[in-house]
Amino acid sequence: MRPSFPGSLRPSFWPEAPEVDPERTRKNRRAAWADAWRARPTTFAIHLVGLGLASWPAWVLRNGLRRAAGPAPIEQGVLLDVLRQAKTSGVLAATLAAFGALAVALALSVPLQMTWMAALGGAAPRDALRRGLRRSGVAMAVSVAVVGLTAVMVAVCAIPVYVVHAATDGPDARLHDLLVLASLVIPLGVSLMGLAWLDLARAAALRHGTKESLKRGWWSLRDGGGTFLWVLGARLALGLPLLLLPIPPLAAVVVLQLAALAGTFLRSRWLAEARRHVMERGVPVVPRAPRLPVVIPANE
Amino acid sequence: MPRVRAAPASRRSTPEPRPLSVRLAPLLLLVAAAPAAAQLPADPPAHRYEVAASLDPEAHVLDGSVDIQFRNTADRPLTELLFHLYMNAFADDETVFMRESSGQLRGVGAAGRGSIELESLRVDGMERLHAADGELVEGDRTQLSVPLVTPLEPGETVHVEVTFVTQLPPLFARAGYSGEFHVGAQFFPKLAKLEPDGSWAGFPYHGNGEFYADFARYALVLDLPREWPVGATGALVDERTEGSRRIVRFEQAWVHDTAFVTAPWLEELTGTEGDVRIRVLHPPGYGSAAERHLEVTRASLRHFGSYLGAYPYAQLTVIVPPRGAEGGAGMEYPTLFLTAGPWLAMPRLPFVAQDEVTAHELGHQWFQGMVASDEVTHPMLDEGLTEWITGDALAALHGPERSGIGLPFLALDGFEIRRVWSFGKPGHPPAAPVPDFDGSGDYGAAVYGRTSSVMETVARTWGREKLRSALGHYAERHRFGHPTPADLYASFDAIYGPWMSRRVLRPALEGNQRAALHLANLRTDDAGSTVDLVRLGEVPVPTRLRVVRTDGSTETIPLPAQRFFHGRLEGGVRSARVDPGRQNLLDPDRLDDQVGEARSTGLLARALHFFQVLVGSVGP
Repeated sequence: MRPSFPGSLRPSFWPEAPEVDPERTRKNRRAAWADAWRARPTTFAIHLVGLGLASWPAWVLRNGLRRAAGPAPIEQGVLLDVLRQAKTSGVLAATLAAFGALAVALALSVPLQMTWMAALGGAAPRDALRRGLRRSGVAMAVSVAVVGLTAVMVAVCAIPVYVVHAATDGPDARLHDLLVLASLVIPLGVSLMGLAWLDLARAAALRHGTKESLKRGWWSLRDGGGTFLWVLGARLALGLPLLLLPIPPLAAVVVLQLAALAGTFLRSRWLAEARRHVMERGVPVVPRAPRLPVVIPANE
Repeated sequence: MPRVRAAPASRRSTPEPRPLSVRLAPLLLLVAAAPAAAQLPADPPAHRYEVAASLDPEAHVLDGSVDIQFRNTADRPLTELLFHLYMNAFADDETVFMRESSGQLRGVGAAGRGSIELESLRVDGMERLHAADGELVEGDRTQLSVPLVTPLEPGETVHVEVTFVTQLPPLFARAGYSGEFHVGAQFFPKLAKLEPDGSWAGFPYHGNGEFYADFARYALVLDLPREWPVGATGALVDERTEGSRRIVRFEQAWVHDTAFVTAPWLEELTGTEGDVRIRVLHPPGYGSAAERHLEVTRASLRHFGSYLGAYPYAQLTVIVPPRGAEGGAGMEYPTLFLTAGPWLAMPRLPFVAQDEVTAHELGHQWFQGMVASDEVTHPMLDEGLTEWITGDALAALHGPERSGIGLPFLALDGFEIRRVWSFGKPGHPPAAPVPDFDGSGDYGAAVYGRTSSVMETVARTWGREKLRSALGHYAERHRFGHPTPADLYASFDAIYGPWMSRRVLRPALEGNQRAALHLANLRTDDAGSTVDLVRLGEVPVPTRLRVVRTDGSTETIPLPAQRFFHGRLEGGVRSARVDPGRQNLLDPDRLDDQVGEARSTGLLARALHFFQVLVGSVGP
């Protein structure tokens, strides 16, 4: 068996993970593109939900800044004036609207994701919605468990970060800060692993109970962890940097919305792959080795 | 800043601003030019200080003595001596400093006490400590009045010997210690400034003002642990070791204070600029930051020296404080300053804030160091002028557009930041004395923000070179002197004409007046277009009007500095904007400077995409 991070942390009571078939993993990845393409109506509907939620704070922010700016174009010469005047009304209202949109997105995320994954599994949109809503309870329980367990792991991993940070006696500030940064890698990695686990466990929750979903999600990390990171990075790369593009307003609408749509499609491709990975993961194919009897040699 | 077209000459009450390219050209030339070497006055100063102190690095105690030869330079006899004992500002919660600041400075809170206790005070060999009054302000022992047995006649010299023990406080307000890092400033008894009329310009230690003293020849003898590097005012003239200790002697003439910094792990980077030897002392790990500080120091020495007169001392010491010593960062002393900033200094990626502290503290070598005005009574002559020359130096270093923020994707003019700072809240004018301000926010906005905004408006409106000439006139004329605002106004009037102080500087700096421009109306009909402009405030700043015609062509029209302007333009006008070059920094609101069409910037598309990414992070 290939040694890897999730397997190496396996506690004694946790069943051993089944072996990974690299060819099967590659096949799943290829098939995920087809799954994602087939489910594009549902993906587009999901995209519209996100667009609708984002349009609320965006509209409030735009109006607040415009109101503050009056007829002046928002450029460097008046930027600080706009921000100064907008901070009490426009920006504050947009911040509150953003928190509202985030809360709604969070509340909708489980049923929507379950519906999405059902559609990625080939279900018709109406069936996908029905199935997604039906499995939302299990997915919610899985989410709470994954988030809780991840939080505990992150907290444990953050202890060395705190210790290094607090150790300021060493006079070399650069070395100290680099050590703190290096020690942050582990909790950061655990956090990302927790996010991937969350998707995988929710994918398993389409068919299985809470405990089985957690197990399958954990085991599937070895297949899908890398893909998750790749998709996350690609979505961010498609997202925020484009905001700074100096392009005309109409081009900005087209480019930025295409980028957002591409990001949603990438996400659907990852969820399709996650679903395939957890479906592969059944009971361990390698039975656990029986314990050897302890033999105490007699004194001679 | 966008370039503007040169405007045709027109009649106006004040001179017309010159195009930006013309104004920047001499600046660039001056930045490149090395200043001529300057020398200290040939005559020795009237006064002499010999300060000796032994540092106990465990207890953070300085055990020392000061030997003063003080000549009565006033025109009448002196009947008392007035000392500053500024370490007593940290003695308890009742001092003026602690009451004014609520026990914090620049966001760093007091974490312990500091004090200075005198063991003896002899005047011409006679013990006078018993006769001294140590509480001139109730609850505050930062001043000490010592009556003289016999009056000191004009021209006569008195010999004062004081022994003292100073407990340094944890470093939160300029002086003190942070671990092994020690900043020895204001740690010894020092005479207040003697005015020509025989009065003492003494004041308790304030959070926002501490400097005003006579120039003297200072010798500082320090007894330190053997391996501890030290930076101090002046040049090292003697050094010897005695067992585990090291005795160093620094000397400097024509300074008004002395200070030192020491820690066992300080590393040193040296460089030169002309005849000036520069030492940068920094903590381990700060090597790249120290190189940047050295680079900025050298460039700023050239820049300031080119129009304020060359730096005349042989040595300049730059201290990079470690993390935890933020309370001592960004402080100036004669021939020595503490800068600030993280160890991170990436090449080719300008960190303007880091450069700003170095340029600012170096600027104080002129405004306060050599042009030694009263920091408490006239803070604008000290911090205000220094803030402008800092912004000017940063504009030369980074370019005006990137002098405030110089990130690859975000650039901002530093003077725009100062303008917004200055209008943050209504408060006192820059010319007010320190005790009048309502806290640090009011003080900072007025003294730093408003003074520099006034100066920059003058520079952008009537020419940068001319402003630099005026400041150079002031700095050269009052080098090693103690000028007042009247002296500053006189220098400006000498360069610009008598209208400058009467119509611009006094209203802006003393009356807190603004030059708010408000473009009220733009109407287009068959006969053409009319535009109405209103100027609010008493500062007459000439400006320009840029109009965009219906055919897409643009035209820039000079406007005189009058309160109302009603103009008729031929043909249709799509939009108009006053002060398109953003030369007037005394306008608190730029949002009413334009009428007509506003350009769309795709704000909604960008906001929408930003929130889509945000929602996507928690959504399905």
